[in-house]
Amino acid sequence: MECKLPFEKIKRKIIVRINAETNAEFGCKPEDRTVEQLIQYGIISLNKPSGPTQKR
Amino acid sequence: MTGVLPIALDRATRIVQVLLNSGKEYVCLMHLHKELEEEKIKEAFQKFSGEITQLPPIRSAVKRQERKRNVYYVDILEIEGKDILFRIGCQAGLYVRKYVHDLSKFLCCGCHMQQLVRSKAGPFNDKSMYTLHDLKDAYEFYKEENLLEKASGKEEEIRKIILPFENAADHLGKIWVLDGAVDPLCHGADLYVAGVVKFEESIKKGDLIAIFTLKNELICIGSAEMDSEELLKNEKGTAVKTTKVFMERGSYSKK
Repeated sequence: MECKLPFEKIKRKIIVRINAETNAEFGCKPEDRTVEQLIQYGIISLNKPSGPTQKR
Repeated sequence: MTGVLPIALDRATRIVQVLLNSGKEYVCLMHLHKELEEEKIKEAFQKFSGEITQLPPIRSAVKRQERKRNVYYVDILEIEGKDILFRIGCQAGLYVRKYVHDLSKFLCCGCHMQQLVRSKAGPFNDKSMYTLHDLKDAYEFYKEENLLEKASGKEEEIRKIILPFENAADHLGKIWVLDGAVDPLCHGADLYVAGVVKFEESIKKGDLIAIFTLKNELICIGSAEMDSEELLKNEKGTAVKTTKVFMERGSYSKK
């Protein structure tokens, strides 16, 4: 059985409207961020532990 | 419930909004109060797929009114005696405990939800998730002064755990814009089609859109005013109505 959520089935082909480049003077690629910057704009996929009312 | 819980940090906090309505997947262990035939169980699960109707439970954050929710897929993983382990992919807002309750009514057999683990929350899943302990260890390791390894070694662990917040928008339609279009967007302006460089072909009017710089930084979130055909064809007009800005003003303006 295909176990995919709707967004996982969407075709992600990219269409280019104009050719353009980006100036290195501004901004920073996400993968080049320092750890400090990463924490400022970060997200964590947390493995949540059991809550206090849950049976163990 | 345990499992995947996306947590956004600092300036990225508001990105969790785009995860609220994203699809979810759970692995659930349900316990029947008497043994039933496998065929009957499979029949019940088949009936409770696709669009179903649910009345939220007494203890819930939402109004107690019957509402339709979509079960995208349900897969029985294992049946052992009175225990059934299954995986369910569903629309946001579906209560699995209620789903199990409704199943049991159909089966005319008491049962209860024994355990629930969330395995997907939008683009985040259980193949890559970390505990608070993992995070603490990685952060301590990063902060350590006296390591002999070079600087990059200290960061390896924490970079696996704290991801760029752009990851939270992975399930949305994407549009990339010119450098010149960035600062107006940071001030809350809508995106005009003239600023669009490239975009995903699947975009439809009304879709939730994530707008990026050509460096793949997330600038803002908005609602599509044009579909992909119009984005390609049109020379002017509003492409996206901006609803939530993340990038700091001035990031892309001459100092």
